[in-house]
Amino acid sequence: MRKETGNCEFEPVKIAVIGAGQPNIATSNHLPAIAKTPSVKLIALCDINESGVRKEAEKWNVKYYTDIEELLKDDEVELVDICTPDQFHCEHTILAARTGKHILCEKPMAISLEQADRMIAEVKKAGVKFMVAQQRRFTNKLRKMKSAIDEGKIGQPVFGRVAFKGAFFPYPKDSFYYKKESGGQFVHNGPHLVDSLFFLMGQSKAETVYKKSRAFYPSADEKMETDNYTSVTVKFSDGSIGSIEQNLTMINPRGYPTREEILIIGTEGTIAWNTLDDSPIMEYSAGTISMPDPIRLKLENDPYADEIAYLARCIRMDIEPEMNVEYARNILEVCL
Amino acid sequence: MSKIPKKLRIGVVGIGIRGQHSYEQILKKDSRVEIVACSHYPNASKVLEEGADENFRREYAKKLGAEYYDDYRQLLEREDIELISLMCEPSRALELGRECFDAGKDVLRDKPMTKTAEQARGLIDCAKSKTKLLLVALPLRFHSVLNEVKRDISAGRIGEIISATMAYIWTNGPLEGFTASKDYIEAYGGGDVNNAGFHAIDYLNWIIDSKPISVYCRQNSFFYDDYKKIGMEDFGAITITYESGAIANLITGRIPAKQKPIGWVDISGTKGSIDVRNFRATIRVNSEAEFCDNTPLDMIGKAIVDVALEKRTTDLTRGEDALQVSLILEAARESAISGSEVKIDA
Repeated sequence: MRKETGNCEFEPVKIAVIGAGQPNIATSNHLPAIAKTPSVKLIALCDINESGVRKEAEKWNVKYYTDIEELLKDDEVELVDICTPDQFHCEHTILAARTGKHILCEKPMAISLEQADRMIAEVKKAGVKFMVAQQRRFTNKLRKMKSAIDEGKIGQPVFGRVAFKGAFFPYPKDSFYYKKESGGQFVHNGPHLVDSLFFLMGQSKAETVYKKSRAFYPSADEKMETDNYTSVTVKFSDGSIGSIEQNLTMINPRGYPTREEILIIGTEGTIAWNTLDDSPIMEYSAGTISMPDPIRLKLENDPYADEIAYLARCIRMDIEPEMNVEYARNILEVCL
Repeated sequence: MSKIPKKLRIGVVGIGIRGQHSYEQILKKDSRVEIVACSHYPNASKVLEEGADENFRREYAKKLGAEYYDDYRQLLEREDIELISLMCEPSRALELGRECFDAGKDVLRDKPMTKTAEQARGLIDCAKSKTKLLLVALPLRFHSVLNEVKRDISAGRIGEIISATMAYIWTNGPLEGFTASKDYIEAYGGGDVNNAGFHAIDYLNWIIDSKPISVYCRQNSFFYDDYKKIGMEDFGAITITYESGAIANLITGRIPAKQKPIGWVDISGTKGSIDVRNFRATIRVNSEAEFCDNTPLDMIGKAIVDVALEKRTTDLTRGEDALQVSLILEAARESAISGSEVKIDA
């Protein structure tokens, strides 16, 4: 596959993707991103779905495994990209750490703090790099905002709000994400919003967390066991405040355009972005309206590729990733 | 014989330099209104008077075409006055309002109606015992856009409200000449979350139309040295939970950013959603936005006359509504101190 950029300044990190046996974030986002990132080299794929992983392995011309423990015995693999369902992140991280592999773990890092603590202990004991995947901070939009803040254009940020309003992704009915044990929709998707807030506010941990949530599903057929509206207020140790709202109740009527919003208030100015005000395209089709996030336009970098390149650099240069295992726990703490 | 139109005769009690005397000026524009008398009251808070002296007050009365009284009690004795525009500091509203009701007058207040919820209850009781009107001027309900949202919700267009999130943030820092002081807090009960928040919470309560049951708040003195010195809040975030299950989030206060005020509201219901990105209808002239709707202040002035003179039902905030806002803001202050959610005992 053609690399988007030139030669890598160091030996590419050899990566294997776990959970790449069906259309999901691994096959749709991570694998294409890896293909365009010179600082990593795809070595292998792994999934329990043999026909699915074989097909993907043929597409990317790499070997495949159906048993994670067999993959982890592969000495060639330096970094594993864990894209398995949320409930397996803890087990797979611990297995990977024990075999000395560096880890990129999809969010959420785990579905309980007890799991997170075990992961921290194993990662530290093994001395490997762990990074939770938070590609949003690698989007042009957030990087521009962050640059403006770092350049002092709004003074010191004292309040931040990150909000998402739309419908939940249509997972299959037998999916784990419909069940209460999954931790709910805010555990699954909330980490994106919390990380965006932390990143822009220059924070890594909430001092206090207040959460309100409720459920609204228009029909029993669509009902999940968890809440689909969550509002969170966090206070940081410097006194600044954060507000996160994830509203996935927009199921009825269909067609509500997914809406995202960021507002940062500083001591000298504000930064605001909202798809309702700032989306460059509005599409009307089949009775629905959509306002694509600029992330989907070609103007945008590939945040997944930049995220993977960042981790590769951290591994080769022995730098601790900003979104390390303790940081991932801090994010999870807000979402649970 | 042609019928002589009835006039609403208004007396003003309390004259400061700005803000607190705006409503009689709005009301004066209505042909059904006559501002007949003005007066001040003893020992007014210096933060309300803002340096206004006797000469200023007499000049002010002259501009309104009203007679000036040295003693407001004489003004209250005038039988032709129906409504008192009581523009005093909130901490004095119960004491002075009671006198107005005892004199058989209706009362119009600016926000906050009173400094405390307890005082609000007292004022409501006084009005009820004399079967008089207790009105509070809160313009957000009279923005044509926000008024339409209320009508849509009342008509059931988005079903039951699940959540409502609102930003109501004043910009460009404190008004020129304003300095935060302990006297101000003593008179008004709080800073700019209390001040701007009073408007927004009344609107949220109005559209959600359910009893508030709990409040969580984080607020701080983020921006201004004079605020920080006395611990007066300038910005905060409040979450209100209602008996219906609705959750309301409000971000409010006064920030230094040099820009237009920030105002939007996002409402989710069981059958639909309403997103208001601008509180006022605008047109663009050379890219610059210009309002093209009625001014909310004119609309509120008309509503005051409609209710006080014509005895019509209007969207105007009543004393009972203001009490609910006071209860929420008191709970918010308690929550900000304790760091915990506070239940409202209404």
